[in-house]
Amino acid sequence: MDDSQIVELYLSRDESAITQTSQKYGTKLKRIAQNVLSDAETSKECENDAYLQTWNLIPPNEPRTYLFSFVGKIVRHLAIDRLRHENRQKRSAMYCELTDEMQECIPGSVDVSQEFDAKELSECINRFLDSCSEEQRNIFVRRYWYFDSVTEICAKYSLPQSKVKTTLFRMREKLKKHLADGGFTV
Amino acid sequence: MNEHDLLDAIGGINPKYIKNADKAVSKNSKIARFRSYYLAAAGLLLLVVAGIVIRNNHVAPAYESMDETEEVTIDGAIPEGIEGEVPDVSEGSPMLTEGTTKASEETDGIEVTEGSEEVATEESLATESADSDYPAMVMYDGAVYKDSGEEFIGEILENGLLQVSSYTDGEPSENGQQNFDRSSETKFFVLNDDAIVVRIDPNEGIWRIFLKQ
Repeated sequence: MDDSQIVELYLSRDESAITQTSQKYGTKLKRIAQNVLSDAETSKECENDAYLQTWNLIPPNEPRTYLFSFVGKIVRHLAIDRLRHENRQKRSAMYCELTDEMQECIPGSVDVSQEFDAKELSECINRFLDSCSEEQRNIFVRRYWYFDSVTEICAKYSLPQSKVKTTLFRMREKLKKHLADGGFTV
Repeated sequence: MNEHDLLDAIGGINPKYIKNADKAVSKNSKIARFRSYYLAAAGLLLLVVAGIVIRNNHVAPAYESMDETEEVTIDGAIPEGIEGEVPDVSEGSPMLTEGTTKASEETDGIEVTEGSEEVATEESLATESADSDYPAMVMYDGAVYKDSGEEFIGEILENGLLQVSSYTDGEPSENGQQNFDRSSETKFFVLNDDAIVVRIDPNEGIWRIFLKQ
C-alpha cells in the first residue's frame, strides 16, 4: 500500500492506517528511536506513541508523499524528549556524541542564549543542505536525522570511515559559517 | 540557541532529503557493475593484443622488403641515376626520398599511389592529434578537472549524476564544458572536493577519476 492510500485511511479515521504504517515503516521508525535511546523497550513505546500522534495529526495534515518523514520526525522528537526528561542524568553515549558534534556548529559562545525562530532555523539548515552535494547531504541526514553511527553510514554507502568522518567535519564547519551568515549568532 | 535546538531543528528538514538518504545501495547492482567492469577490461585486453598482433604482421614484411632493396643506402640517400628522374610508380620501385624505414614501409607491396594516400592519412591524423592534444578535461563548479587515467572502481552515485553541457576543442572555460565528447552526453558525479568521476565510455560503462587542477 502506498503512502497516499495509508493517508487516506487516516483521513477516513480507519484504524488499519496504524497497522499499515507499522507494517511499512515500523522497523525503520523503531531504529531511529533505538539509535537515540539504546533501549528496545522504550524505543517500542516511542514508536507506538508516534503512531498515536500521527493519528491525531492526520487530519489536518495530509503527508501523502512524505509519510515516513512525517512519522519519523515525530518518533525522533519523542525519543529525544524522553531521553532529555526521563534519563537526564545518564544520557546515551550516542546522544552525547551528537550534541557534542552539534556544539561545533554553533557560531559564537554557546553559554549565551539567543532568541530565535525554530522554523527559521530549519529553513536555514535546508538552505545549507541545498548548497551541499547529494553525497554530503545524505551523509549529514543519516547522521543527524536518522542518528546512524559512522560505521553504519560507511556500510550503507560503501564509503571508507575516514571519508565519512571528514565529510561530517567539513559540513559542521560549513554549517557553522552558514548559521553565522544567516544571523544565528550569539 | 544551543546544540539541542540545532538537533531539534534538523528534525524539520525537507522530507525529500530524508527520503533520498533512505535509498539503500543495492549490493546486487554493485556486483553486476563489477562484473561488467571485468568484462570491459577483458574486452580491452583482447583488443590490445589483437592490435599488437596486427601491427607486427604489417611491420614484418616492411623490413623484409628493405633487405631486398639494394638501392637503399645507410643514410637513406637517393642512389645515382635515380635522382632527378620521374619516379617509377610500378610495384617494387620505391620512392626513396626519406629515411630507410619510411621508404621501406612505403614500398611494402603497395602501389606508390596508395602508399601516398596512406602517408597523407597518417599525416592528417598526426595533425589532428596535435590540434586536439589536450588531456580530457571537464570544468565543474569553477574548477577544471583533468583525467587522471585511473579507472574508478567503486559505487556509482546514480542519484548524484550530472551531465556535461557543452564541448570545446581546447581547455574548458565554463562550467559543464568538456573537450572529449562532441555529443555532450557524458555524465559524471562528484567524488569529493578534489575529484569527480566521469563516464568516459557510456557503452562500456567505464568511469575515470578526474582530479582538480
